[in-house]
Amino acid sequence: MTLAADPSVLRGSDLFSTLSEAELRAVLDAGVIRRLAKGQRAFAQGDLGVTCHSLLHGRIKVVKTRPDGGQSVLRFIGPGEMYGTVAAMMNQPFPADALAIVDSVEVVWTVSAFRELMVRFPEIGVRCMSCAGFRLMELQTRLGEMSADRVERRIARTLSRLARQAGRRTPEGILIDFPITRQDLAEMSGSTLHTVSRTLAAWDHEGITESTRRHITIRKPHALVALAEDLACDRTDIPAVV
Amino acid sequence: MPTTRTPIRPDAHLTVATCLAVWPSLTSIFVQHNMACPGCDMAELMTVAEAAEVYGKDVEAFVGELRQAGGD
Repeated sequence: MTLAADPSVLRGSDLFSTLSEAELRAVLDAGVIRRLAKGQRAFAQGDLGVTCHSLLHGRIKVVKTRPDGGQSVLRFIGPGEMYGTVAAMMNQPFPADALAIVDSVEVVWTVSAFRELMVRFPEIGVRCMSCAGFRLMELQTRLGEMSADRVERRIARTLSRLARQAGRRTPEGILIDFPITRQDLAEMSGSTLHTVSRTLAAWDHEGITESTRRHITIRKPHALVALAEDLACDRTDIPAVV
Repeated sequence: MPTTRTPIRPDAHLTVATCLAVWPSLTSIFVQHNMACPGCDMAELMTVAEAAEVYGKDVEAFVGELRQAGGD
């Protein structure tokens, strides 16, 4: 089955948003559109980093297996975002698995094709660097949190970041708009399933969140931010957003 | 729900992020009120009215201040 090769699908991508229609056509032609079924990997940890990826549709979980066998969720990738690119450009193996957690569609380029695109359209390189820089800053922040912050605060910050990245207003509040489990949250915030379950249960009880097995809605975003940023406030009289 | 057209002036129904994007000088108003909105993860997901409410501010008065501060 042929997927629509309309260059405007790239219009929402971080890397290509300033390009013209004709330029987007050149970018798309230099790569391949690929479907990923839920559970399928775009690339595996340790694979040779020979491809650059940009997500068109769906959601990718970037998860690293540590030497001790545990897993760390580095980030979730949403439509428009790149992944694998930094490792590929640096000629390094992919540092983590990129796993489709829902049916997804990506564009894939070989490293050489992507390099050519960057030379031809320098703006792509600038945006690549901004994206990589942003992620680096975020990881530095998270590293600091791991050393210094209480686990409840780390979980709150993780959830807050997810809301920023993938939050959607619903009648109930702010929904994290993709399936996310307590295990995912634990692996993202450097805590355990037990601690996340206990923390979410407490927050559900306080009306800060409303969580199911695979979805989380933030009902009191300010209360969550107060936890995440250690703001002084009385959490009991904060109204839920409706 | 927040509007997506370019807003003419600060309004209770705009998201905090929209207000700060269109009128960056309003950051100082939020800061003066000890509101942590500038840079907050929730800024795109909460309206000015909701932010004012959770900080215990009178919404109309707060919007008035935003408009007076050069967002008009």
